[in-house]
Amino acid sequence: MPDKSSDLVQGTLDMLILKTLGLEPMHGYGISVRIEQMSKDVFRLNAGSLFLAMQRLERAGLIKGEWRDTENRRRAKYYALTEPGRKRRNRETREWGRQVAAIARILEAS
Amino acid sequence: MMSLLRNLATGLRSLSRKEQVSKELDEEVNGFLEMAAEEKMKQGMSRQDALRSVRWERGNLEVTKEVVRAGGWESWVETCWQDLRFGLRTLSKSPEFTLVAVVVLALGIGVNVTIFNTANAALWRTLPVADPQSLVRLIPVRQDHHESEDLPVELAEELRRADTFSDVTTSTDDGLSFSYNGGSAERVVGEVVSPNFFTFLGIQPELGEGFSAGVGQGQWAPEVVLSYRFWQRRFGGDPHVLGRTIRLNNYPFVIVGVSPRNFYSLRVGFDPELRVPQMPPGQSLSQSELLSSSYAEITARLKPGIGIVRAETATDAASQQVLRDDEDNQRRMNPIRHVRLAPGGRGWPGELAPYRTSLLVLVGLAGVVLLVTCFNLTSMLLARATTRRREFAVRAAVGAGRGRLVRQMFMESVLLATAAGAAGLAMMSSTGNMIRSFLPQGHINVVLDLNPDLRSLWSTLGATLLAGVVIGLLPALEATRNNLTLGLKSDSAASIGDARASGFRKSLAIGQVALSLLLLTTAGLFERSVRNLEAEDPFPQPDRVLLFRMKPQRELYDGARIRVLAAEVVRRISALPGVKAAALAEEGPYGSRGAMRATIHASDGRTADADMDIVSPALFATLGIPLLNGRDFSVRDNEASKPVMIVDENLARRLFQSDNPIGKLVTRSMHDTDVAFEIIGVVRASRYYDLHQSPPPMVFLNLQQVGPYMPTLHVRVASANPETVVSEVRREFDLIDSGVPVFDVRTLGDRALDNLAQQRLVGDLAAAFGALALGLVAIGLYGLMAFSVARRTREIGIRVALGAERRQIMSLVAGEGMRIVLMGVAFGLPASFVVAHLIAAMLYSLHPNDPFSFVTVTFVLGVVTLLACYLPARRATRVDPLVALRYE
Repeated sequence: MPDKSSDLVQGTLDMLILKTLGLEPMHGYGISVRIEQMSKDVFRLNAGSLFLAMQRLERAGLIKGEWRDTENRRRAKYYALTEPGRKRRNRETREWGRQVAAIARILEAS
Repeated sequence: MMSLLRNLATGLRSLSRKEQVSKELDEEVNGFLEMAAEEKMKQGMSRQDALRSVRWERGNLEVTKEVVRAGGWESWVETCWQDLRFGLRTLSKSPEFTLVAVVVLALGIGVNVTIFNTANAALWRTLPVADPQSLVRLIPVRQDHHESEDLPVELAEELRRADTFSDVTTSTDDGLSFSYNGGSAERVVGEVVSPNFFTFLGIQPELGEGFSAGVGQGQWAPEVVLSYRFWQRRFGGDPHVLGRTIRLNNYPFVIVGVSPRNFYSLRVGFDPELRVPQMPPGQSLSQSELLSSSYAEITARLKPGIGIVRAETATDAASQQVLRDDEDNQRRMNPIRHVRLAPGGRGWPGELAPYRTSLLVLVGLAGVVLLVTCFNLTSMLLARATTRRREFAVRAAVGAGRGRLVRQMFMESVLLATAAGAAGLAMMSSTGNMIRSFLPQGHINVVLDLNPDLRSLWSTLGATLLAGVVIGLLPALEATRNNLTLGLKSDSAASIGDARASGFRKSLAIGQVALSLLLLTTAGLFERSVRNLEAEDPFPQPDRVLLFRMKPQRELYDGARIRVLAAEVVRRISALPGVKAAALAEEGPYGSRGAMRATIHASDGRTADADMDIVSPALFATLGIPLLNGRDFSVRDNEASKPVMIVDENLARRLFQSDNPIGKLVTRSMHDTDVAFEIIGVVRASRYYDLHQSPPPMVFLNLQQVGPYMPTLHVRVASANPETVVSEVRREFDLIDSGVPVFDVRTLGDRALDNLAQQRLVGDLAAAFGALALGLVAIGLYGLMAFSVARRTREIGIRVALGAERRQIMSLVAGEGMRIVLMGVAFGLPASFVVAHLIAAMLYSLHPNDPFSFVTVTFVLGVVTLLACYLPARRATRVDPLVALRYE
């Protein structure tokens, strides 16, 4: 079973989900497709990890789920970013940028 | 915080609406599957291929659902709940085991919480008043640095004006003569308190509002607040008692309230029957000196933000002027010089303060009992785990993880402990009277509020959980040890694990033997010590001496009248049928007020410090103290005649060596004058006031010459059952004068027991603990040996088949048991010696290494444990080799 999400650094999946949901509310499948597209198929999400992460984020109040009809007239649970979620995303993006830059500097220096 | 609440709310929702939540998850995950499959189908896959492909890429969606469901905390709660029900089912399948286990553990926990609750009530309980932490006690420090309790009440007035304390209250107490509806006088203990007492403490009376507002503003009125227990006892808890009139020292008082049920007093162990307001300065009532007491205990409440150190400085400064102006204080030999502050949240230490060491020793011994019961139960659970190895193996094989198995075992032991904890709590509340029976009673009753407070309940919960974990841990780990698959194979293959488990059980048995030896030797030493002290009791047949304490209130009876009354009481009660002799003594042997002291000077300058009592003629005959020389007091020695004194042989030897003391004159300083006494008799020295120490020199004065205050009538009766005489004596008292309260009615034997209350408390309870531990050891050893015999049936069968004799089989099995006992004794004896030396200060006429105690106890332990091993061993000798070998 290919599970590329295990390549994700611990905790980054949460950040990616928050980032993805920043554009518009989405359902689980939509999130996974969007992450795969944006990563150019580098990440492929295991459904287990994805749903667990979404449950965690919802309980922490960072995202909020709501049942709606899809364009194909199917019912799906759409998740939207809440205000705390937005703050968390901004903070983590900044933090991530700092860390990546720092790691890059270290790698270049050696 | 918010997100934690949300997590909690979502979790609770999934627990309560399990179906709905589960359906939503199903729909969401299935939707995911469908959408992913549709995407594939658009690219031309068949529906079946598409679904398979999605599963391959995204993982099994059923597993996904499980993962998500298990992701929240509520699923943990749910499996715990499952384990709990599973545990209940397992335990109910073996009711005998469950019953024995719960009973054993309940004894262990019950003993602990009972003792802890008692110690807590006597030593650590916080007063049931508003904000007890802000209370402080004002402690007078005398010139010689000794501390006492009573301070001038003006100081309280002074401190109310200062800004250190938010409020100050005073309290002091004395016996009063109570009568109601024209009945005869009864003795009560009344506390006179400042009018703000109830508001100061912030307690809501059971009935009424406390003293009226007028009294609070200095308009004194004869109001009385009854204690809850006196209201129950004397008025049957009558709710219409407010407004009725009672008489205290013959003065009418109106009942304005009943104090709350959980409030006794500011003093530990003290529960006065009623409270009356202190009179403002300058006022007094001839019927009761108590109402205008000039000295009292002062308790104050710190203002918020003021520390005790700062408050002490301010209080000491304020007290200097008051102490200087107080003439009573200045006249004292040892005047109060300073005031110290002490925390008051637990109230004033009372009669029970000296029990501290005894109670702490008992708390320790109870802990040892709990340890023994835990060892015992661990051993039982280990045996049970061994026999359940196959069950665990099967459950592991069908997918239960080790963690889950351990948790299920734990659930069982926690269930056992919880049932035992509840039983222990029931034991605590039903043993209150047993504990109270050890409290010494006297002119003031010692009471103990044994209703559990929060601290006691927490300690019960703690002991329960601790026991649950301790007894569950080893069996759980042992039962689920790695080689679970071995459990599925034949028993013989699993016996490697059994051997280790039985090794553990042997160690636990050794521990039990050692600990119970420790308990038994401690109990033995205490009991021997009590026996030694009891043997010192100098009075023949103390159970045939009845005691009646009487208190003619000084405010109502002048000295001459009291003397007449006293003589009349002795004369008429001596003449009652069934009475051999009767006499009065101001205090009497082992009196609850303790020894009176006197310094006696001989004419040649020698002095002796002596204990003293004031007695009527015939006291020595009544008690059975032999008169060695001279004569007893007689009715002819009176106020008009010259003062006479009887001394004991110790005092005679101290002052006169071998000279005949009869007729010699000695002096005793009384107040500011020296009074000369002629010695008219010498009696044998006896442990009169205290059984614990060899008798100090002692002198007796004549009651008719000194005058009684609160004397005790001693009545020696002829029959072995004195109860019939009690009512006759009481009737006689009523006939002579029904205005004198008669109380504290008991026998001299009871008083002697009270004198040894501390030693009996520790000794008797330690003996009970020791007996309990011994029983547990016997059960434990028996179980272990029976188990071992059952396990070794085949081995024994082979030995018998090969020609071993019964005796050899017997020694094989019993030898195993005795090795355990010997090991236990080897560990237990040194520990016992250490403990014996720790408690040496509590032993009387006994060396801590007392060989008799140690040998007897070890012998008893040996006999009991031998018996516990013998029964299984005898069964082993009856093993029929044919049956045993076919058995496999």
